[in-house]
Amino acid sequence: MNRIERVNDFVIRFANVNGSGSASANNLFAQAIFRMGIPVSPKNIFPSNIQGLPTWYEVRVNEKGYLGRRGGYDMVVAVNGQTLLKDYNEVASGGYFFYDSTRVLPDECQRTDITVLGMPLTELCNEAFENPKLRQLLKNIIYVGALSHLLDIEFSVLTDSIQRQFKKKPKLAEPNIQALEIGLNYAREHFTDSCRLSVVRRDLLTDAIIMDGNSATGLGALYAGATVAGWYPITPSTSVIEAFERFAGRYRIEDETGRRKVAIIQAEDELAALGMVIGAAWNGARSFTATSGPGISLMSEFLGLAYFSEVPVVLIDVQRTGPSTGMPTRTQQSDLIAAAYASHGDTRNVLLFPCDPAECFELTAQAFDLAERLQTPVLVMTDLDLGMNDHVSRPLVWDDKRRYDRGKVLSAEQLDALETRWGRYLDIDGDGICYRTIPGTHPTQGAYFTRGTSHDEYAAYTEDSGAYERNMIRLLTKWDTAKTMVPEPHITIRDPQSKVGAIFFGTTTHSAYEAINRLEEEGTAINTMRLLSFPLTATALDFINSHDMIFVIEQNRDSQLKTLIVTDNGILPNKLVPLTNFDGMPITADYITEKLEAGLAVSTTTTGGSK
Amino acid sequence: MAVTDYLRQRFFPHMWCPGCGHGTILNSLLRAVEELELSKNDIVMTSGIGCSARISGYVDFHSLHTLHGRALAFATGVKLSKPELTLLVPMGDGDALAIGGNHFIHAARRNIDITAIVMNNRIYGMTGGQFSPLSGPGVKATTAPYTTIDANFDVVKLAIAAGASFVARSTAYHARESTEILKKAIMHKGFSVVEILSQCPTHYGRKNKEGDAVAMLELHKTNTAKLGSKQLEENPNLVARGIFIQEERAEYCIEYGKIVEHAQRRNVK
Ligand code: SF4
Repeated sequence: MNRIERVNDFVIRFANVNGSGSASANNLFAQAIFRMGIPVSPKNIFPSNIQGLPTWYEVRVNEKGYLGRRGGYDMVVAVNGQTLLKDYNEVASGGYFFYDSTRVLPDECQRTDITVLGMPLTELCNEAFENPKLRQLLKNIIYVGALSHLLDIEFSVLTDSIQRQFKKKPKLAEPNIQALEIGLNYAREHFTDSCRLSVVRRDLLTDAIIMDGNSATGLGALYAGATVAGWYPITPSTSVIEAFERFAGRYRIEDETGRRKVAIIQAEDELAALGMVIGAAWNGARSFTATSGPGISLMSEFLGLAYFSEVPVVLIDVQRTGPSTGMPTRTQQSDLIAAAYASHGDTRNVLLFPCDPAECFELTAQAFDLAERLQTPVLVMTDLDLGMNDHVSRPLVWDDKRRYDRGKVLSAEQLDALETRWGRYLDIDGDGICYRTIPGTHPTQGAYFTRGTSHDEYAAYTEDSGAYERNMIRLLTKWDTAKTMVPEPHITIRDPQSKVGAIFFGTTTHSAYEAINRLEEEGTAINTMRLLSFPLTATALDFINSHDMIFVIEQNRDSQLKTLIVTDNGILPNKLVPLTNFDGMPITADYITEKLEAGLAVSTTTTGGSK
Repeated sequence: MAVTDYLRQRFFPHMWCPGCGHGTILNSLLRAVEELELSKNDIVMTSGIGCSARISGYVDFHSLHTLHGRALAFATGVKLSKPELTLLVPMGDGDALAIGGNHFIHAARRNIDITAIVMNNRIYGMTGGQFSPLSGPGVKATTAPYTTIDANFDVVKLAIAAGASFVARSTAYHARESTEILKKAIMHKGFSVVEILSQCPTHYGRKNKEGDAVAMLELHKTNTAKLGSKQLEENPNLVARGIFIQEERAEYCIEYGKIVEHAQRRNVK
């Protein structure tokens, strides 16, 4: 049998039962690899359930720094009887199957191409620990101990982590460390030279951090000066607000009074949540909400109001698998069209696409500036994979000299100094953005009637076709201005001669780069553009115009990004080739490689093989 | 038919945590349906989103798992299109009275012949323990780390004021009593609301130090008393259980039928 033999480059999958405490053990495992300086990416694949259903945790270890999903499992740690057979069958040929041998393997398990490592986890655990609640948790820690032997993880890194975790309750650290030792000792005794996967310290991650996107987003909102959040619980965005709350409790405390300067309101539904946010934003507070697809549907009416009455709003959409309730605990990038054109009538909303925690932080902060500068809704489009999983990322940085861009807001002095009549919807500068006031700025001036009904330059209700059209066309001018303000795409030209390109965004980025690098190593150069925003900037359009065939790689069924590019820019659809994955799981590099190769093969046969 | 005949066993094991009150309520409901000898084919269950709403997956009726808070809207459509069907709508507290509050009062106002079962555990279980409009002040939740300040709805009073013609309350501990009440609610012609206090040991219990499921069930027993009982009279702080209102009143589908007849008579002339 050919055993898979690799150093710092493998995928391991844990099969557990939801709510059995496996999360902290698996986390301990991933953190240890991170602390040894090796790039690692854990992904939690969990059910829409609180306790009892199957859950998986995939960890990719890759010293080259490829941290998207690769595809395939080199090792499976199976501690869930319900899915044992499926887990067994999914181990890659030459891989390793580690299981709890307290119960014998079913007869169907007859593979000869994998290494089976049985360890009586339950038995060992029950022998050592009395407390039934602890037993369940520690069983998971025992396998982490065993893995430290099998994969050569530095044991002291694990024990350090435990000690750090239980700094305040050292009594709890003891049994955890004991459990690690039980696992280590058993594995040492029974598995000699059984596993050819290993990790070796590399210290590649000198200044990197590991954190989940939702926490980074919450922190971004805090740094951006958000003081009001209105929201309604929904997976997978709930933890954005929880993080905001947590960070606000630590960092948004007024020095003199010790008071926490933030208002977080749990609304009665998503509609009310966005309504509260618009109200606060109208009143001058930086405010935001976080939701997911079903929330976007509900908030659409209010998004239209914010767009048309021009109130700055920041909305975080942590996308999950739709349509309707869909798969609430699976990932997708499928709200693009709904978000970009949310609400009836002619509307267009600005979207931002972060791909890692550092960008969640930065783009969320930038969203507040853009929303106020453009006086319009700005939606930060993350997804479940980015939001809820831990990602290795460059550190979050904030320049203390940075000042918020509040946009065109008139102060009392400016109102006094006006020589002509002020019009809330009057375009003075020709960029489509008008001057607004914040209520209460001036005792007698600057009040206006904010309305979602048709209005003229002075915010008066109008049914005059000319005034209505002028307003709608001005909003398009503003859209063009937005194109000059949104973040530029990241473009990599691998071969200036190549007419083949690829576009992607968000969490698709990591696997896409990996796949394209693989092709480059084989001699096929694909130029890439990672989009950070919608609408597209002029640079982005140049990229599209200078390539003949462009793969648009995204995680939805209908090629939504492609649709946005085509409809918003009049690009010919034929040159954009959809490459989509919509199974609810993060897209893999293997899948993209395969689809790119197939796509390129088709194009060479149809175009006569010119390269 | 046996109770188990009303269950979709292929969807088991169910998704509720050990000790969750929702399974007990499912049991009470199935027994009510069985004792009434209703045909499965005549029952439609619609539900929204949340731990409670999953109940519709485990019953072998015609069932619709719809949108968060909106199950009553679907139920209204189903009922109007075929009034002879029995409509059961299990709802969680957030589902029924936060996002679904509007639908709830309007279904009550119409007095349409639907049985709404509010499985009240005073918390959002599915999303990890946020407070609900039924939590009431002084409750700990992830969104109320220093306890809630929001007043709660009294489901019984709200339903009565909005026009429901059958309103009752019981608890997961009082499973037999719940069955009896549910039987009456289902047979009642009009909008019936049955609030059943449930327990969420995973979130509510843990955060509010109410102990495990057994301890929480014990609270259902000690904190409540039957309507008209001496116990309640002596201690009005207890939560009352029983049937608060049961009135014959114009039912929406019947009235609708009458208006159709009326309009047709005029047309004939
Ligand atoms: S979270 Fe609470 S309500 Fe939901 S299943 Fe668990 S115990 Fe029941």
